[in-house]
Amino acid sequence: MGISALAVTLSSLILTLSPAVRLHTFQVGYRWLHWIGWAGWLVLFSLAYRLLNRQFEEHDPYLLPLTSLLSGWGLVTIYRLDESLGYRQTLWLSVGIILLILISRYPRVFIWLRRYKYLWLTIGLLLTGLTFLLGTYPAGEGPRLWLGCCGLYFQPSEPLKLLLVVYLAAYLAERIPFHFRLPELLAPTLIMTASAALMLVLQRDLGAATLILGIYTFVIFLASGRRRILIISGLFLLAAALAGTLVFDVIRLRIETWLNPWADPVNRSFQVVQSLISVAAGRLLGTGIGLGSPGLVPVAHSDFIAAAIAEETGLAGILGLIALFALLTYRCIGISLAARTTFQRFLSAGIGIYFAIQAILIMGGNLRLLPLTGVTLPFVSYGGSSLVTSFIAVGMLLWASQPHTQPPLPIQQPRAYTWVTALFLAGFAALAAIAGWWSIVRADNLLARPDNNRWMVNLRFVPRGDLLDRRSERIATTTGERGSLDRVLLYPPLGNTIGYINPRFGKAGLEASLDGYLSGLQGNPASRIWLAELMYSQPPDGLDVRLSLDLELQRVADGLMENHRGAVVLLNARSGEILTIASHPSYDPNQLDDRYLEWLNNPAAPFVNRATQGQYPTATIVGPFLYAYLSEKGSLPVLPLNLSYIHDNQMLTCARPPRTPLSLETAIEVGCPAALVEMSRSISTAQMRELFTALGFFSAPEIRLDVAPPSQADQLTSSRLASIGKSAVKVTPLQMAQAAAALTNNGSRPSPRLAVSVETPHQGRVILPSGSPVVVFGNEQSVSAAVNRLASQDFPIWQAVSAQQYDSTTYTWFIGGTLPQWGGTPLAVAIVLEENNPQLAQTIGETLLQNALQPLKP
Amino acid sequence: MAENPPPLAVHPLPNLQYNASMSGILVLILRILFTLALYAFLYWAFSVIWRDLRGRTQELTHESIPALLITPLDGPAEEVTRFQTSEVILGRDPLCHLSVPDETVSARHARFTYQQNQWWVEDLNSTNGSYLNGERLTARAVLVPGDELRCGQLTFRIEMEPKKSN
Repeated sequence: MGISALAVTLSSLILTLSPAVRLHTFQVGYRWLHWIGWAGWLVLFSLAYRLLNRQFEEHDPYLLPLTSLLSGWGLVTIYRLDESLGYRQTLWLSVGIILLILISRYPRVFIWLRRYKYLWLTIGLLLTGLTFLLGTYPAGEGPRLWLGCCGLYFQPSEPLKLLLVVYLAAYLAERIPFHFRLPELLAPTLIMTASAALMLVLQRDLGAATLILGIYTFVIFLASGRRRILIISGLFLLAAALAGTLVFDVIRLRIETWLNPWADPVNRSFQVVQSLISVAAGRLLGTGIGLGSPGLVPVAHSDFIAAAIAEETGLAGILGLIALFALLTYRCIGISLAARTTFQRFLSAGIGIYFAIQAILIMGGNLRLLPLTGVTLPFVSYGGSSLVTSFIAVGMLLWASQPHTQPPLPIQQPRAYTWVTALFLAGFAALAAIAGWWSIVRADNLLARPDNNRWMVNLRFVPRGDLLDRRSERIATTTGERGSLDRVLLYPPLGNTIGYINPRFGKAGLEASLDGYLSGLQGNPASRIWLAELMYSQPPDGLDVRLSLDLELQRVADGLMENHRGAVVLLNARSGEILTIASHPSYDPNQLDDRYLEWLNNPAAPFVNRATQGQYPTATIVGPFLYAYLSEKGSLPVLPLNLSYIHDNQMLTCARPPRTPLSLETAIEVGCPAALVEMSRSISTAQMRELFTALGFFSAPEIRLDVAPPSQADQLTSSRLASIGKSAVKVTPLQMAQAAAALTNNGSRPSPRLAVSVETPHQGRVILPSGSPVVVFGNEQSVSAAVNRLASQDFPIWQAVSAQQYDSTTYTWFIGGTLPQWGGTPLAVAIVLEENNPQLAQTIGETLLQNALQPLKP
Repeated sequence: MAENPPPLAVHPLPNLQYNASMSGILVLILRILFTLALYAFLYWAFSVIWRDLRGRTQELTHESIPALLITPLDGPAEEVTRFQTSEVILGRDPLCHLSVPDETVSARHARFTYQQNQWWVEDLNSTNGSYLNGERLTARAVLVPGDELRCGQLTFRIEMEPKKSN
């Protein structure tokens, strides 16, 4: 008893201190309210203990400490989950204990119970039947299994289970002294049990129905010792489950979600999967009461309280809980063996079976050992009817365990007792084994699941790392205090690249792909993560990640792109570092909660990152690539006289009049279709495919962002059509930018990168890995010569622009870059506009390059 | 444009405050104590119960009951019936453990029970009464090997096999 009080007091203390741990400071509002429940629990149990000790000197010494520990543990857990339920549970606990004391004080009740056994059971059945007419569900919509009004509800199926036990014990006590035959024994009891079970099945209270069937089977088995009863009942249950699968949707659902919960973890098996993740989150020692997130499992306070306990006290706790129930069962069987009348014997055995089956059913359901059945965990779960009934049962057990001078009755079927005890112990052992499986062996896999929603809680409690630009200017940061932390994007136009992390909408963009570093679970030393998880049940503080973006250039690009649709990608042609990535229209992740639907339904699709996900036909922008290719081969054509080209009754034209003097180079610069068609004559389709593959048009860029699935090489069916952008090949601005980089960078195309390094606590700045460059044009000299021939007059850059109409939209492309001999950082840019505006595309491209070429300000 | 980003201003490491780590350590100790208390409770309960139950089952298991041998002395051949259950009922009723088709024996005549390491016999309010070694049974009596029990007009010799050692 003392140890039990100590354990409950300790867990209350942990709950009080838990906010300090969560927030890493002592200046917090501590949780005190559950001490009311604790005081009530202590007073009631000491009272019961005193009274019982005075009354019977040698009643069973285990029952009260056992049940006090179970109910105290449950009470603290319920307070932790929901304080208002905690008060109610305290109230029900007092009712239960007062009834327990009364029952053990007035044993005359038992003569009464025994004599009118049919009456009691019938009353129980009638009350249960009444729920068909007057049943309600206290918490809103749900199965209508409760009776009552004015805030007081009770579930008649709970006392029904106990009444059935009493009835069976009384009936057997009458029959056993005479040598019985099985059919005689079965007839009346079977009718009563079957009617009870049938009623519960009709109410869809499958857990209670299974329980009643189980109690009946085991009690009759104890009385008769016929093993075939167990087999028949097991087969019956199996057949019933099979038949139920065909008839009732509820049963089919339960069985299916049991057999394969991973198939539909968001809807139908949400509860089971969340429960398993919760168990996994507990690992060995648990998070500590008040420190985990068991509230993420639906109805954690009643059906899933075992999962809540497993999360907050770990495998150690759940094993202890299972052992407590095993002990309780063992005790009941022990009392039964020592009983001096047949009635007491079957009563206490029946109650033991009732507790054991109920505990195994619901804990098995939580741990996916068995299909989920909605029964309560005796003494622990929230629920007045269950708690009061359980304590009445304990009162009966105490009465049956009263010391007596008479020797115990001889045992009719000792083997049956051995069997039943062994079966239940095997059940509890299986529970223990599967708890270990989920919380240790499978823990990492379960916690890594995308539907493990604990990150949402950590978002508020653990500071997330900042996202910095290349000059350490903050792009995204975390504001507020632990407990009310908030993620803010300081430069909103980058919305569809940076993305968001939001409890309602999940994760996207770089916030999703860099989540490991930003949330502290990656990049920190393993020992630090382990220590933080052990002490705070939180990951350590998140790490800052430096991006390659240059916010000054980004501002220039976003300023020019405002009110236009399209994308801009500017990158370092040698290292692949992306300096600017703009996609318009964009969205502001800071306003996600208010404007999500508006953006989702916006035809301009602001959620799409056009730079990486927007696929555009290539129009006549591939000219510089064909030019470099043919220069390498040494077979450049002569410019035709007519610069336009008629394709499919459509007149394709240059983006704007070419510069003078007119040449193949200046025609390519403004995307004149005839120049491209002329060049394509010297390139076979297979060669064109090879070139496009080398340029990266058929492969997804390796970047930490969602990219569109690339076009396939076999979509390129004709080199002529491909040259004027009339094949099915489509390219994203990012792919185009990295292709352009090949021209600037002497024929070699870099792998793009956005995330450059992580600021780790011990190793300093750690550079993140990136892909390796690809050689597009083997002959460096011929490529650089070709690019120099394409150079503009005004700036030391090369460029090309193209605008072509497709159905209703005209797409304008611009690509360009520094010249190969440029001494500074080599740059490449690709711009796409969803309008006919070569002028703007050229302005953006030239302004960006101009700005980038100026020496960096420190 | 420089290749390498310029060095950062010293970034504060996410360090745990002294004050804050105290709360974590304090609660960790409490959590361990809670687990220890839980297991101390289980240890106490299991150790006591284990001893208790072992003693009790040994007393009550099948094997520890010495078999009861009942021999009817009036029949043509002395047929010994051996019982290993803890309870034996003798009577005319065919459902009795030992059923004897004799008019002078009541349907449920006498009961043998094994309790407190002894075989007992009691009369079940039979019409003609039961006599142990000639004396009428009025209460439960302890049996010893060689006792003769008369039920109606039939006499039985009672013997027990020596108790098997466990």
